[in-house]
Parts: sequence; structure tokens; C-alpha cells
Amino acid sequence: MSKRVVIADDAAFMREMLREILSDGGYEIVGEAGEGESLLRSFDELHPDVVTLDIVMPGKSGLEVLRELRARDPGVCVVMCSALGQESLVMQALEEGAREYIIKPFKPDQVLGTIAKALQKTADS
Amino acid sequence: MDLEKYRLLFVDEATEHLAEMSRALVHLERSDAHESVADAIDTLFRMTHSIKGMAASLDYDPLSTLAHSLEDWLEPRREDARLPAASLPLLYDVIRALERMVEEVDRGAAPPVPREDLIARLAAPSVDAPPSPSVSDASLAPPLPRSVRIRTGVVDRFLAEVGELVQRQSRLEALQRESPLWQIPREFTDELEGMARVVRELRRRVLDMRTTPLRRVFERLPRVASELARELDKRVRVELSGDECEADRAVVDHLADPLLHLVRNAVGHGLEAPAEREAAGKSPVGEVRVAARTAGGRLVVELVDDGRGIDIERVRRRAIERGRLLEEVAEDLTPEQVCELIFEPGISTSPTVTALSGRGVGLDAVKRAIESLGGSIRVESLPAQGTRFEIELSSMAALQRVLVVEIGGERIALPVDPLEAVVPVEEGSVERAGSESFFVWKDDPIPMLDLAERLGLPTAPEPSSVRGHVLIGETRGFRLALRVDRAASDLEVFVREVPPLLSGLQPLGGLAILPDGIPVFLIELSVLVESFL
Repeated sequence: MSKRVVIADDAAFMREMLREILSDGGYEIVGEAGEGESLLRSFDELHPDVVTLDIVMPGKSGLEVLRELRARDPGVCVVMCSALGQESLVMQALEEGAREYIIKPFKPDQVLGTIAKALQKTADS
Repeated sequence: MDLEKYRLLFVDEATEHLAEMSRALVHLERSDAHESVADAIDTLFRMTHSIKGMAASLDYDPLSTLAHSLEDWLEPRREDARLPAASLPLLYDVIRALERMVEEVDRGAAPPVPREDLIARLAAPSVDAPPSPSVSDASLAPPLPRSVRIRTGVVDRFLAEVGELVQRQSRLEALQRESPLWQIPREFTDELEGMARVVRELRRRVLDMRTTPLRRVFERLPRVASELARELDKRVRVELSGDECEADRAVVDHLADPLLHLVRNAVGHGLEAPAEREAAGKSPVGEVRVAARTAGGRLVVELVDDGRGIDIERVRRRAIERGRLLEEVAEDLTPEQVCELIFEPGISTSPTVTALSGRGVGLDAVKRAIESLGGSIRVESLPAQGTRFEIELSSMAALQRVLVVEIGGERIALPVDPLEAVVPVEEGSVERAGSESFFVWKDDPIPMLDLAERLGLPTAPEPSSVRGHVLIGETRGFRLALRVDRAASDLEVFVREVPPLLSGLQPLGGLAILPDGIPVFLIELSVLVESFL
């Protein structure tokens, strides 16, 4: 069965890009969120295998959302997404339990490789 | 990867982001409350960051470079939640530069390289000078946008989807009507009714969205008129009214050429030279009045000039010369009837003035353009007093009432407007004269066309046999009987344009989307009539 993904990013452009890359890579996109709150609201219902989480979003930041997700489900597989320039935030997210990170602009191979790696890490933990 | 899709997504999103950034700047100017400053800087930062990411994904380097510089500039200020007023002009400049770049991308061009000085100013150690009083100058603040720009294609797609929703909704209702009552829970019926209300409202709103004021077309008319008048040493004043009237964008767009033609016509043929006007006791300045009004879903546009009027005798002679009129008949026609002849091919194209106002296109082209929109045009003229054209059409071309007919196993839609009657074919109602057939209706023989034959669909072995229905319609002053296998239903449907690949095929007037979601071809009666003219 294909793995279920939820994409959280405030830019529809980025969500569309990730959706295309991930569906082509055999993942099932079960939800999209434009900001943290709606991701948190639908997370339990969607029970995704992976969440891709943008670090700069309106309302709750990616880091805050990560903390709340981890509080609810310590085993959650979160992959942070960020454009260049936010490296320190990405590092902090990794320290706080994000499995992996992707740097924008997305390259399909890299995205798929990173998601697979994150899922592997989650399975091993 | 579909680059075009991402380019459009980028333009939409970046344009929105830049508008939001402008709003944040206005906000910064008006308020220095710590919290709202922090919010505004945060918005600026997020939007810039997002634009940078998108631009980088599409390799728009100049855009991502400038956005990156701005992001770097904003980052420390975001942490301090402080932004000196002196830096606002720089931010406006950068946002304007980004807007211009996005506009270039929208046009399909590569974004231009940003001005070096902008990047240098962003990179400068500090522009955080003490606030200068000049910054509160209101002229710096762009007005708050009251509307957003949406690409027409997006609206059309949306309209098409809503059209489909309406169709599916009618299909659901039909299914419900056809099902035995005991099989349908009451709640379902209630919900369906609720949904119908929402869908109706949605349709009304999307139609609102699709409309545009006539101003778009009207505002070009005075310039065109005065340019032509100058060339001809005439004088003209164009008066416009009702340009705030709204109509379907497709209608407004297609009205542009006919109106321009009529205005050129009025100046070129209608208005006299100043001396001639004065001699006739008129003002040396000719007047062309263009007025629009809407009533009950109809749009009426009137174009009146106070020129010399149509030369009835000349039209009569020309119609006879061109074989449009028999000499004996011509005598009996009233001036009004002769006047209408100017819409016939070859009558209004005057060989002497084609280069000026006619461009070799006659009023028959104007009439055809109006008819293709499902409208009609009339003319009235009084010698020495002027000419008045009246165009009347549905202000909503996207939604049309059609009759669905079956022929040769296919379904075809015809606009209902020009149709007068649908009658069954009976014994003795078809007469043949040589290769032509006539349908006798109310004792009148009407030229009959077998629609299946005309469209190359399989016809019945014996064409004159008693079968099917006949549609009686009138268009372009010609009455026609159309034989079909069966007239099925009369519906209001969304009509889409014929896809470009098929657009060369006559007589396709569009694609009508039927309630079951199946598109069928729409046939214009006016085009079918052509084979008889």
C-alpha cells in the first residue's frame, strides 16, 4: 500500500510541486494545509505516514507545529521544508525531532530520496 | 514537469503576495504600535521568503536574487520588531521592482535583472537613520487594493466548472424524480433542495464575476472617430452614455469590432463636411451618440449620427445591380425595407471609401457578428437628419437557451431564439421542386433543409418520407425549414467556444454542455441559411 502524505506549506505553488513529485513517486497525498492550525486539526483524522512541513508559515511557525505534532504522536514522521537561508531553523527542527529536511527549490530525486530516508528512520526507531 | 502550470501559479501567488506586502507597508506607515509593526514585518518576511522559494524553483534568478536580498534585509528587523520609517521608500522601490518582474513573467518573458542600486541599498549596513518627517507623506502610500487581478482564463475555467456543477445538479434532480418515492429518504430530498439553492446562488455570482462594463469598448470610440474625421477634414463629437452597463465579457469583446465599424461608418459616410453641414443649417460639428442600456437580461446599444442619412435610392439601385432585388419588386418596397438591405452582402461596401471607413468590410459582416452573439441589429434613417442603428443582444452569451434535436443518431443543439415553431412532418406537407424540397406551413412553402444531409450524417433512405420533425426558423430575413429526426428538449445550457482545432468547421457555433455532462455541437441557423443565399 502506498504511504500517505500530508503537505503543509502556505504557498499553493509549493504544495502543487510537492504533490506532483510525490504522486509521481508513488505516494498518496491525503491532505494539504496552508497553515499550521488546519494541519493540526486534521492530523488525527488523516493519520498520515509522513508530514512535509514548511518552516515559514503564517500563524504558527513550522517549529511550533512540529512541537505540537510530537506532543501528540512522538513517533510522527515529519520532514521539514525550507528555502535557503533558514538553515539554523532547520537544524533546530532536527534537534526537536524532525526526521529529515528538504531545501527549496525542490529536486524530484532529492525529495523522494529524503522522504524514503525519513520513513526508514521512523520504521527503525 | 508542466512549466506553464507553475508559471501561472507563480504569477497568481506572487501577485497576491506583493499586494499583501504593499498593504503591510501602508500599515507600517500608519501605526507604530509594537504588535502591529511586528505583524507587518512578519508578513513582509514570509511573503518575500515565499516569492524567493517559488522564483528559485522556476530558475527566475533575478527575482530570487532580489527577494533573497530583501529577505536578508528583513530578517534582523523581524527579530527586533522594529522598522525605521526612513526605510519605507526603499521597501516600496523593491516591491515595485518585484512587481515589474512578475509582470514580465506574466507576459511570458524572462524577469529583468534588478537594478544594482536596489541590491546595493539593501546590502548597505544601515538605512536606519532617524525617522524623517517626509516619510509620513501620504503620496508614498499606494491606495489599498479593492480588487485583485484574476487571469481571464481562470474565471473561464471556474465558470465552466460551475456550469458543470449546475448540470450535475439537474441530473441529480432528474434521478430523484425518476426514482420511486419510497426509495428516497426525506433527508436526501431536503439536502438536494438545499444544494440547489446554493448552486443557483453560486451560478448567479459567477455570472456577475464574468461580466465587464461596456466602457472597455466604448472608450476607444471617440479617438477612432476623431482620427478618421481629421483625415477627412470633418468635425465630430462623440457622446457616450451607459458605458457602465455590464455584459458578459465575451459579448463585450465581440461588440468591439462591430461598434468600431459602425462609428467609422457614421463618420465616413454619415457625417457631411463642415461647410455642407452649415449650408444645411446644421452645426459644423457632427454628432455621433453611442448609448447602451440593459433591460431584462438584454443589452441594447444604440448608435445615432446626425448626418445625411442613408441614400435610399442608391441602396435600391445597388441591390438591383447586385441581383439582390428584382427591379419590379424594388418599386414596391418602403424606404424602411430598402434601408434594411444595407445589411445584405455587397450593398454597403462602397468602392470609393473602402480605404477609409469600410476597410472592404460591409455592414453584412457587422450583422453577422451580432448574430453570432445571438443578437440582432436594426437600422432607421431619415434623409438629411441622420441614421440610427440599434443592436440588441442577450447580455449573457455564455448561457443560452437551446433546442436539442436528434439526427442520424446524433444530438445537436440549436439556439432557440431564431426558431418560430416545431412541427411534425405529415403526409403531403413536403413538396419537391427539382432538387429542392419545400415544407408547407400555414399554406406557405418554406425552403427545407435536411440537417442530417447538410452535416454529413446518415440520412433516411427516402428523404421525402413522412418522418421526424421540422423546425421553422427565421434569420437574416430568410425563413427556413429544418428537418430533424426528433426535437428532444428545450434547455438552458452553458455554451463553450469551439476548441481551436475545430473552429474552422462551419457551421459549428459552439459546444453546448447538456445536463448529462455530454457536450454536443451547437449549430447556428444563420450559417445554415447561407447555403440558400
